[in-house]
Amino acid sequence: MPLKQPITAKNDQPRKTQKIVCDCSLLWSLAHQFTYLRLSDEVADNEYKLVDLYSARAKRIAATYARFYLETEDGGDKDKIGRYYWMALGAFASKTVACLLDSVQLQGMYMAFKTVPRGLGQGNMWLFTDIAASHWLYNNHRNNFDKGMMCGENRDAKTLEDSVKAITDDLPWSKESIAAIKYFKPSADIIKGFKLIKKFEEETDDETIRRHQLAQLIAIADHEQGAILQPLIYDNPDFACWADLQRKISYKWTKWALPAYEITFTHACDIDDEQLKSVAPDDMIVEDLQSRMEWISDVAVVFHDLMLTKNTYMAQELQTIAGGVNTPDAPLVY
Amino acid sequence: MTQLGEGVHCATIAVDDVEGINVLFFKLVDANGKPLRNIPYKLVKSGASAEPTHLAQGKTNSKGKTTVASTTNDEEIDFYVTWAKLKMNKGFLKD
Repeated sequence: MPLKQPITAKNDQPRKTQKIVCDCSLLWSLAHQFTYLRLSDEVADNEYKLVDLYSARAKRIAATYARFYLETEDGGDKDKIGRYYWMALGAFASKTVACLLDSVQLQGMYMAFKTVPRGLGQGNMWLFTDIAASHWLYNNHRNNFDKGMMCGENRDAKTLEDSVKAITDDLPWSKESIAAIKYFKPSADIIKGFKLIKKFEEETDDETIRRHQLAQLIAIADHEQGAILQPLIYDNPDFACWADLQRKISYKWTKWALPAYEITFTHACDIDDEQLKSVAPDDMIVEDLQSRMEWISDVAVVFHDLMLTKNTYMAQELQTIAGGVNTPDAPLVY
Repeated sequence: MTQLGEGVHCATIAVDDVEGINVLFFKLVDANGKPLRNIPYKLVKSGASAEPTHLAQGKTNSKGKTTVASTTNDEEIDFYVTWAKLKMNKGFLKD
């Protein structure tokens, strides 16, 4: 439960220490604050403004994921690089979302229809709040994540500290998002993902470590697709309708006006090298979880192979993506 | 013997050494009694305004403790955890 503030104590003993017992609410509130401040600019002492531009948010999100993977984020540990494997893939994915949001097609669509850019912006932002907060808590309050108060399994947006709850409830799309993702209640998949992170930390055999990495990537992908993105955007009838329309148009005409579902393993928006990208099959039904997960499993295999065979290249690309952590807002947001 | 004009060290007085003066601290702990460090806080005389509420006085130390909250006997002090303020632009197409 949140702290009942203020907490008052009387100075009535020679040396008195008033203990204040906190639970997971305080720690999750710190973690939530980390996520929304990352998407904001400081405008005065400890006073921030949320950036408006969806693509700037997506670039900051990609940068934060890359920083978690590279262990340069708050509380990171360079000796444990590789444990946050999903974060590396997530960095490329969020970079791709930023590119989509910046693309001519979507900007054109932005003026006429809000469904697609809003869906991408909403999904990306609330997924970030979910997953980055978990990783921040694991980095900074490990003793209470999977031991101690077991906060990793005890998360509830309804019990955030009052100030943080008020801000969280006021964030874009909060009304339709927080309830849809069950107030951030941890899924079995994310709990499994963090158990695999712990196994990575304890393991010394390289082959086993790589198996843990891929298993962790899949577990967290199952969580983010099934528990977060599916209810947030893909179950939205407007988004599903648009996706269906896209398939019909794509089959009949060219795709010039429509962004393809693809992920490129580069800091740039596109790359000619076919080995550094994965394009979704034409028959993928994006709003269908199973159909989408089939492609994401393929993406995971391509990514896993690249992380082994082109590790230096991938690390350099992630370093570049990490540099976007302070991507500026636009003076005028369309 | 100290010569005239010679520098002298300040005396270090531990709070325990001062008889008759009460000293108050706050300490943040988890449910198992372990200290919570690096938590930003604000201390004010009980009942006084805590504005601006987002500006911290300090952060809890490695033992989860604040600095001295009061040295005035029988004084009451209010403790707050401080949180950043966030503004949002709620204009057209921004939510």
